[in-house]
Amino acid sequence: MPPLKILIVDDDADVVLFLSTVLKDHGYLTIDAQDGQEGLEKAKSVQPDLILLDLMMPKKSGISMLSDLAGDGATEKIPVIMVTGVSGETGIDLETFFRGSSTGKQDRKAIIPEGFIKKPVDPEELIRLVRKALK
Amino acid sequence: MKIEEPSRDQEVWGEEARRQKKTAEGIIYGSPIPMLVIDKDHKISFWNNACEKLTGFSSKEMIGTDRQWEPFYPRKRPTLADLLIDDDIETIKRLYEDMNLRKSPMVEGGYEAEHFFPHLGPEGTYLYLNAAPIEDDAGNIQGAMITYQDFSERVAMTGKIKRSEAFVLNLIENSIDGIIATGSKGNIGIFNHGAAEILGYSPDEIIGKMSFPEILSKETAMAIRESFYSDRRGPPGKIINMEAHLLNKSKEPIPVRFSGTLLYEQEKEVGSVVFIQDLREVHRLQKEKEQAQRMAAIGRTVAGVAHYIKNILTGLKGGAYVINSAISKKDLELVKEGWGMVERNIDQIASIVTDMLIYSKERTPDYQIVDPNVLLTEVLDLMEEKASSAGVTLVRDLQPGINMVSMDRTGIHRCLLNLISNAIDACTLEGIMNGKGRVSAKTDSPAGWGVRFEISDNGTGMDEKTQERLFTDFFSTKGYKGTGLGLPVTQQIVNEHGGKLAFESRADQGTTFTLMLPEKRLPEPFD
Repeated sequence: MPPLKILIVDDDADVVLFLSTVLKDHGYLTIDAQDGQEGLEKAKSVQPDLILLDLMMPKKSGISMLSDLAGDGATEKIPVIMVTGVSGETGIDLETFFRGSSTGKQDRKAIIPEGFIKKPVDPEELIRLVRKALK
Repeated sequence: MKIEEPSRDQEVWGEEARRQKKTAEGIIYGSPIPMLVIDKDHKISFWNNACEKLTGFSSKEMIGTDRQWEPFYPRKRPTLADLLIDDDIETIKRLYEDMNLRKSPMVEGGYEAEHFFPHLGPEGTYLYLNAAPIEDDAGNIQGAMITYQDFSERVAMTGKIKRSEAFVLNLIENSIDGIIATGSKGNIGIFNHGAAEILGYSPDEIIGKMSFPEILSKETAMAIRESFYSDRRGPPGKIINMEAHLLNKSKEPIPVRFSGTLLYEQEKEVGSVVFIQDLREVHRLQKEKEQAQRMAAIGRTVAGVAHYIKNILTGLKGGAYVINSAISKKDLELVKEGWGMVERNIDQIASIVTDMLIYSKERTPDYQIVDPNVLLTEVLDLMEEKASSAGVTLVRDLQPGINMVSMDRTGIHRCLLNLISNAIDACTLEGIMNGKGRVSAKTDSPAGWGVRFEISDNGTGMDEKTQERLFTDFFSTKGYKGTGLGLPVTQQIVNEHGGKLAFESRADQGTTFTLMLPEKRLPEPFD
């Protein structure tokens, strides 16, 4: 069985390096993208088994990319784990945001992420979530 | 007083004498002064109209009786007139001692007294009485008379005045505010308990002994004089709520809130009255509040630094993980990459430490003569990579020929870096600009200023809530990516230069920051 491909989308090169090292050590293949736009292109072309997606990025944010993934038949089935560095300060509660319960808006087709992991990322927690998402 | 009484033995009653007696009776009865006369047998011989009015007893029922005591006393007792007839000086003294008894200055052998007669009239009456013996030619006592004067009204009036005076004095004395009144020459006439409390003098040490200028510091004396004779603090002749320093007994300046007014009598200045409130407690509370605010700020600072250092630690840990993984795989290339991660985090520690030092004023600015355009170009070149990788266009609009400006080069470099980096973030962080982001950097030199840097972006802009918290330390909208120290530090550096940092922002339309430096830098304290 060929190794599973994971696409890491984050504008912080250090985060990409760290996540990819952890994943590679556990036998995954990683591909990376610096922003949402590049991430969307690579998702289509590479067809990864899982996407690790940062929230705040230049050109296209994680949320915007998520919605584009959902709107495209070629990508809508790829599971996504949101990697969030957002603290409570911005007032965004991601769980609530994605369940739509606070806004009640469902006008855009959206993928509900398979999971959320907070920065600083704990390697074991990451692997646990990745395995669960890939089951 | 002598009245010539013709002897009954005398055969000849002259017409003249009868007329004289009639006249005397007329005078006595017609007199507005209450008057009674008794003969040497203590029987009433005259009880005039005014006396009827005063006592409510008619002459008809009184004359010929010895009831002269009755209107005045509850029980029978000798009147002054009775005692004069008896020549009983001892009893006069005993009975009238507490009635302010004195010898009459007008009539020889007569007495004056004042007394309140509770028995007389519905509410009692204050009477001044004047008693005099009536002697015949030979100097033998034939009778005595008493005149009365009702001074109840005067007593009531005096009492009223006294009460209102006592009320005012009470008011002055018990006021918590210090009240000091002076005469025209500054001599202190009123110095109440409040003033004594504030200044540590007892009123006795001050009143009539010290003058107002003696309890003023020189500056305060001058300020008070100026304020009284101008309309600077209230209309001329008045001072309203001025902060001043009075000297206490140990000649220490005591901070007070000072109000006062000059007193005039027929347009002539006759003194002043001033009101002082102790500000020591207020100042102490203010200091306490400032201290509490400082402590809260320190708390925020510590929390912010801890948070940021935690992020850096995460980076360092990540770097260590990568290096460990690389070593076990003998992947030298990955070791280098991991080490690069460690180094970048070390740089971040260096950077936040510099920011903290600037912010805590521990770092001494190093002023040099700098070409603003050269400096801005340098910063823009540094930011070019970040901008282009984020799809943001940097626009340069530098006015040629701007004069060199004295500044702390490193400090202003940091400010411009912060502002431009923020501007790029504003265009990219939410990903909304999608490559249309523009940041323009402008220089010029408006009149009175050395240089004006203007950094504007067409990014997300800021809502009011964000704008309010902009210069709060450790406030960041960039999640883990921002320390929240950039703008507070920028502000601090600009302030140190005597410059001005301003911004204009609209949500979804962009933000413009203006940084102005003065032509001539403020001199340093020990330059």
